[in-house]
Amino acid sequence: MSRYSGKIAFITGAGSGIGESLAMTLAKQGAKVIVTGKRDENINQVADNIKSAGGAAIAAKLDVTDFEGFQEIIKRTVSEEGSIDYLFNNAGITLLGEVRDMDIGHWKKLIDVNLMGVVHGVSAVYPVMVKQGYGHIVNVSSLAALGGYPTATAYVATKSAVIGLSTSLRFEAKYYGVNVSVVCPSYVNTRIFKSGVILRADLDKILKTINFPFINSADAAKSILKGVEKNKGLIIFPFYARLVWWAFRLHPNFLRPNLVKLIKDFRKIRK
Amino acid sequence: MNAYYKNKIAIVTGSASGIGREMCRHLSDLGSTIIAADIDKNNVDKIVQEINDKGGNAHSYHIDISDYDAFSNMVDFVLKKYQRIDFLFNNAGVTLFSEVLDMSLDHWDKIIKVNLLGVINGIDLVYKIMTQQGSGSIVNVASTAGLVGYPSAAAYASSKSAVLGLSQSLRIEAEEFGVNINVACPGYVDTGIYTSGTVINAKLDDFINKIPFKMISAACAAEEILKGTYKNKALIIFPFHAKFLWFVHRFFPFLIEIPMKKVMQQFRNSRKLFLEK
Repeated sequence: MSRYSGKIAFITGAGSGIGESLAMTLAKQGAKVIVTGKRDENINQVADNIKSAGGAAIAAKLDVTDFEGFQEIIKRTVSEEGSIDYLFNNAGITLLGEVRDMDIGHWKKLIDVNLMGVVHGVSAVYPVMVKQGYGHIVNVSSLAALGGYPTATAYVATKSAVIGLSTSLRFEAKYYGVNVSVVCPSYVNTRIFKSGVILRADLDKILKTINFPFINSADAAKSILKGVEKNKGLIIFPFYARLVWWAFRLHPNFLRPNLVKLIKDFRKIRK
Repeated sequence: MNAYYKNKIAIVTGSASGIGREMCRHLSDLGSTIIAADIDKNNVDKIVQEINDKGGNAHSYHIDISDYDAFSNMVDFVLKKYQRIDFLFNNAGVTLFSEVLDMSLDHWDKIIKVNLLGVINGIDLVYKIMTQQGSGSIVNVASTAGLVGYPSAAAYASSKSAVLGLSQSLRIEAEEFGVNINVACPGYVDTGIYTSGTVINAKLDDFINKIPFKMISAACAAEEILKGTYKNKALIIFPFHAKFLWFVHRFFPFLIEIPMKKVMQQFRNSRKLFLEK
């Protein structure tokens, strides 16, 4: 019997990518998954896939920037399922481009989804988990936030915010029996870039400049759950990402050449 | 360092008190022209009056930095008058001490608006000007809380972490244009930020006076920031207790639990007393 049997897992951005993989993996291990996302076709497809494989899933349309909508679904989930064991604040968007090409609207859009989306999830679910006396909140950040990433400044700002929030909340929540983890993946093969904003460059040209391997979202989900099971505060993967994290910690300048290369490569292809 | 700030045009947000006010004083002594911005009209006018009376050159601007249009008007004013901006000190910030449990969305909004969006407004308006100038420094005041987290101040830590990440990324982009991006991470500084901040279901005096670290003065903090800016340090971390916490966080993360637990315990004791009343 898996530790997830009969548990209720609420996942944002579950229509694709890491969210979808988390949903599939958890459902396979016996959890009932609330598959939420912006697009009906996607979340319904994921929920259907889970159900045809014999798992339990409910699709619920949710835009994480809509706090009232978020609260409503949580309320419904608690009343129908009795509890929420896991919250994966996974929904997120990217913006690739230079700050000099951005306008204030770009910044606000990223804050709305990547930061406020997580704040909404925490605000809606944390009180529920405190009342229960158990629960695990898992916030998806990024390795980029651990040391900076030129050409993704706004993305890094919001993902760094998620780390600061999670680290602080983790120490508050322990008292109530609630665990908090933050996830910092390196490059994962999802639609996040294709559906994100790219300023003055072509995505395929950008991707050609990336020297690090992409992992697939199924492996990402596996790594996340491994870290969740160990109740790690900071979940970093794949292995090379942990080396990058060590380098940043040893001295912030260690990876400067790599960061400088990022912006130099981008500027070569910038239109 | 003295020559570095002579005849420069510096915008300082959060000028009416604390670190901002001391930076204005110091910068003016070193010969900078100051555009002092703050939401507190009385006190920002006061510091500008003080500077001008001493023979300096300062302008006061009464704005809420989270108001993009107001910030924009101020930047326009500076450009019209001086045709350049040499320094932007994104210093204004507010605190909120609370269990996340006791917070409403409005509380989160307020902290993120001032501490993060306020900084972003400054960057959006001034960075492009500086890249075109081929010179300039944007100095963002974050916090040690942005480096290591702060239970009982999660929104504050979150907003400051954002400023930190933002600065580290922008720094690399900005180099080619001759623009410096620095971020200051002060530890505990003796300013009015605590008393003018928000405390939910607890009493500030119950816990802020119990911290095991010595607060440094606002004047010292200002000095450190100006020194770090002059040296173009990526991260300006001070005082010693801040450097110490960051070191522990980086190399002995399991040990950071000790001060974190203590901070939370002190806050919770205050909260318990407060709610019992």
